Amino acid sequence: MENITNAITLVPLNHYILLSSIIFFIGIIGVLTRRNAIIVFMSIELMLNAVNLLLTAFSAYRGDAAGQVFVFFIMAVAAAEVAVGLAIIVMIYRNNNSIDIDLLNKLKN
Amino acid sequence: MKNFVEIIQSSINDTLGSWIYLLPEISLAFIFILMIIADLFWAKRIKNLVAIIAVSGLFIVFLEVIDQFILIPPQGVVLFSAMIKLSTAAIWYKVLITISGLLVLLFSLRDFQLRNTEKGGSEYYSLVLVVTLGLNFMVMAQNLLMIYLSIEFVSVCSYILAAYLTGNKRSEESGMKYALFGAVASAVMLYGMSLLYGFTGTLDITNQAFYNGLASINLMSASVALLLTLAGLFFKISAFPMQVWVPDVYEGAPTPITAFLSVAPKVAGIALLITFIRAVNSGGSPSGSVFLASTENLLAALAIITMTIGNFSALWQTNVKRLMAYSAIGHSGFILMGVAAYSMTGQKAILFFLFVYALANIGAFLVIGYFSNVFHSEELEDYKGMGMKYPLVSVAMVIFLVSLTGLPPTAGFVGKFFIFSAAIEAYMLGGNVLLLIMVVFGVVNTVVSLFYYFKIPLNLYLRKAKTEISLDKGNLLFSVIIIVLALFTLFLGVFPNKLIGLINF
Repeated sequence: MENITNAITLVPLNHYILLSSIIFFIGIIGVLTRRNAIIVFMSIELMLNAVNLLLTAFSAYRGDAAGQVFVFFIMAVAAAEVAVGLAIIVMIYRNNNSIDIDLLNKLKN
Repeated sequence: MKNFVEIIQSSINDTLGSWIYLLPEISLAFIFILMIIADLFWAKRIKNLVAIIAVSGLFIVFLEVIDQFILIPPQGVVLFSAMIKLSTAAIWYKVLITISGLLVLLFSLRDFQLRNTEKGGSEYYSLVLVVTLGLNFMVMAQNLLMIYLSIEFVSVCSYILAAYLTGNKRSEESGMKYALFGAVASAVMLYGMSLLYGFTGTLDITNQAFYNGLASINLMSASVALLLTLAGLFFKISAFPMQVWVPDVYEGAPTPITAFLSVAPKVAGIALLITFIRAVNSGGSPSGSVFLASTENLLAALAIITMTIGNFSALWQTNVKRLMAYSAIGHSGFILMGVAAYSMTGQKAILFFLFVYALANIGAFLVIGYFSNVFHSEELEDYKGMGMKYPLVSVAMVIFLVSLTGLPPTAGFVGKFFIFSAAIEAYMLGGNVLLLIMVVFGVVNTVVSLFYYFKIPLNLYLRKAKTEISLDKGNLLFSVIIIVLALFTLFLGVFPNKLIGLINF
């Protein structure tokens, strides 16, 4: 266990922050530009993984376990969230035969 | 090694000592499990069994929450190694959440859309209870982990509730949009939280290390982390940058759920926002927190933008639920005014305003539900001439709308008056001109809101119905609740001290 935290700290912290912000922004761009509901959820997952990476890096650098515990919770809750999201997607697919989010335009001014 | 044993022993003692304060939450969890079991085995034999368990269970929880006022010391108790804190203010928010949960459950019993779904209602009632449980944790949360978990708890269940009407395209769309926006908002909030953790090395926001860590770094990076974290809270209270989802979700979701979402998560979100702002502003230095001016400006600016967007967009709406959704955004702006003028009187003003808002808003949605049970429409057009046919309910609707506008003699007037005076008081003390501008905008917005709220009584009373359709009789349960809520609204308008006298923390 010691070895892993040491190995994490071999790379400078700034690199982790840079990498995770890049992943996070790829996720945001995916959410904004993709029209397929499942790919949008994948992009959200990418954003969450950026967060996980950042938390783990900070946790290793601080020598504090709280960040790593947080990561476990994020993984579990994200799975629950995606399960609900996918259920709703299935429901929409049954009615529309498509999961294009541009079809969601019944509610407008 | 010996040290280690001591640590474990003290943390076990802390955990064991904390359970007693969680009685309402534990009961909620038990009732939830009981409902699922009851639904599995006895639902076929006894009609409405799950609904009865839900209503009576939530009533017991309400009594337990009231009981907590006596249980805790005046300064509150910190539980589960500073994960949550039970204070008098938190109990007040819990009371409000439980009351709105109860009203919404009664509302759902007779909603025609929910009664006619193929799924049946039992899942629905258990989910409302789970949302209440999540909200209870939200008002007590003190730790970034707990804040995240409770917000997600509420969000995930709300997605299901918003999309509950399977086969109804509007409800599905509202659920999908809610889930997408919610997931993005929580990801953004998590990014902010991970940065906060990196800067401070602690997840406990009341810890002195949290403030010191934030104050010691560059103000710019601290502000980015704080803003990202606040984005998740703004999503819950539907404040400015995160308010896009509100009209669509509120319009498509089943009416009782719209009523619930417009009140309960907002109450909990505001409570959490206050905890957060207070933690950030609790600087140890005598000159006060370095963030005080910037949070005040930020909240004041967001309050102005939120209420202006909400109230001006509402002017063009023709669907009553959508109109109420924009009005809910406008009201978030007013509540944010109170948070910006944060002080002890500010917090009391917010609590009173939330009470009044909850009464009037749930009441208004009940009337909308009543009418949609009767003539199956939520369009403003179809409300024409209904005032004469359903006199009592229509009069109650006018009272709710007057209260939401903030005119005497209803409780809304007193609530708005308190918020405005708290803002002006904060301006006098701090001399921040933005607060004064905020008050001016608040007054202008109140006048604007008059125009769209009074479209509803206008249609109810002064326009003739185009076609004579045969109408069902209204529901007795609904009319009784509606009239009781209307009377309460009037009562609090005339005797506000009856409630304010009780609120002391």
